[in-house]
Amino acid sequence: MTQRTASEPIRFTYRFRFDTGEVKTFEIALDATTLELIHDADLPKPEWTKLSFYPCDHCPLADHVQYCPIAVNLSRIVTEFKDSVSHEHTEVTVETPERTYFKETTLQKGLSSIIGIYMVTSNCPVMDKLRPMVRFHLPFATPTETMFRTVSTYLTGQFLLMREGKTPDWELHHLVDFYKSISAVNKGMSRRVSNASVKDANVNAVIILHSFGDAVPYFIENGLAEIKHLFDVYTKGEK
Amino acid sequence: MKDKILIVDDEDSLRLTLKLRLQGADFDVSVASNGEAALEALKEFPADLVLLDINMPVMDGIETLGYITREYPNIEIIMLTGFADFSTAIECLKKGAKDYLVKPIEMTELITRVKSTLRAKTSERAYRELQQRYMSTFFHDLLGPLTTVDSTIEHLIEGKSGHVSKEQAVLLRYAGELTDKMSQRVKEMIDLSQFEAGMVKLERKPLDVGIFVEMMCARYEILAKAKEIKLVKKIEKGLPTVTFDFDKLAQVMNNILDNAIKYSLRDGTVTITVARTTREELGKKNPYILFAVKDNGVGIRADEVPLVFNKYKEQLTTKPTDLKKTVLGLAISKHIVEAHGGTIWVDSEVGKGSTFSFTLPIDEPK
Repeated sequence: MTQRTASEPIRFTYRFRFDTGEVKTFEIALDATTLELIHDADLPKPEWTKLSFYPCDHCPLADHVQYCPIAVNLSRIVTEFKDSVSHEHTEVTVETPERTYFKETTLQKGLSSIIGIYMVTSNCPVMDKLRPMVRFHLPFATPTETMFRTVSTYLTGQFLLMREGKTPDWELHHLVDFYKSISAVNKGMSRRVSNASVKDANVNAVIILHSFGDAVPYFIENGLAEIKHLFDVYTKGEK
Repeated sequence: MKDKILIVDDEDSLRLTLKLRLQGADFDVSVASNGEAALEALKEFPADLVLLDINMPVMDGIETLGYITREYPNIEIIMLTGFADFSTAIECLKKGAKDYLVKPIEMTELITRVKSTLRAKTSERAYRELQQRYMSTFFHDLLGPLTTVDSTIEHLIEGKSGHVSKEQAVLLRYAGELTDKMSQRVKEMIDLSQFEAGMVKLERKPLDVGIFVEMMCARYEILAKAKEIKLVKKIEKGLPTVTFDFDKLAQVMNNILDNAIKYSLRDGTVTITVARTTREELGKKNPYILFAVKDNGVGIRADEVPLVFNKYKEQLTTKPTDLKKTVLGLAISKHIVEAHGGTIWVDSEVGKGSTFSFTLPIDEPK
């Protein structure tokens, strides 16, 4: 693994190896500064990628936008797995600039990991809020890990806001609001992807992302109870 | 006490997020990753409601639904389905699921649907229990006066209140027989209503199956002989001891043997077989004792076979109304066998006879 220069694209390689011996590989390149997906000019734009096809509730994109940017980002992978079953066994290898991850898992789980990248790097104004997280992408993250990364990313943003003399949201109020909008996108995307697929692997991958997103407001309202004890070193004895 | 919910889904992140949200709504929650694991979990976790994914490995939601509705009829089931599964979801409703939710699931909707399903279940169950308790009390109230009428008739026949003519004695005996029949019916109704209300407690004791069957047959050997029916016993040697309620199982055997003798033609044969058997359950062979009573009597019409153990069977048949009776013995037998963890069934053909069979588990009942 060679060292990446600061301006070089950030690359992820997802490799799915199935029990049949078949291997499917997806290369992802992100702009190092904007974290936007760098995609081929010839990326397919089937009917279901049109903005008007099962649009998300409260979609903020203007009427003149013809294609849903998330759907376009997803078009190749959704087409590739439209006939696949969610619980199919697969070995997934993920190469990132820093390290390689490997997991024996179900197709839906592997897909949810890669679809997560495509969704936040598309220029969808709602999903953009999650884009900083992609720089610290953690394949196959558990709900607790995702929650920690979500809160950490948001609080880092608030710290930077404070340093600029603006009012930070330490109470995470706006994060809960973000996630309500994100939930609407995940839901809309699951409708869209479901209608573009024959079997359930693609839609279940989006459903997994939705379940993570849906749980975030609950985790926050619940005072991060699942990980609170890990921070005793800060909270115990502090006034 | 908190309502218990079992979440069955092959995706761990979905199980976890659903679990956290339901726990937050004050439910007692357990999880399973497929149908087979769910059936294992239900042995230890008496769920009030199961959230059941349709598309899962090992054992899918539809097969699991079949098992749960059959083995645990009091558990409510809500199916969890993807967008493409509407027709399957409808099929599940036909097979006994109470509702279905389309993924991705809105948590507020999930909690509302779970609560309303459980509320409906509670009020339906409370009403049913009240009705069953009322019926049980009502039949007990009937039995008291009937017993008094019976002993009064007995008292009169014995001449304890003055001389009774021959003709009067015949009429009194006839009234006594009718009172006995009525008492028997009322006792059956008490048994049935108590089983249905879950008020019956089995008094299980370890008993020798071979000796039990010999005892049961002794009485019927006399009855069979009177009707010139041959009674053949095929009792496997060295049968293990089984824990069961003697009186209740005797009721089952009496019912089946009564019918076998009653519907056998003169010179017929009734064969009683008792042997070890196994039953495949969740891919595992579990040991049982099989009891089978075969006659070569009139047999049962094919359309009536599925109704044999139904308490409403007479009302469901095509017989003229004036010939319909309340026959509860086999409905009660079904309750008794199932309360012991066994199964009861009949194979029959018109003109060739019937075989009534039931099983009892050799291990501790599940």
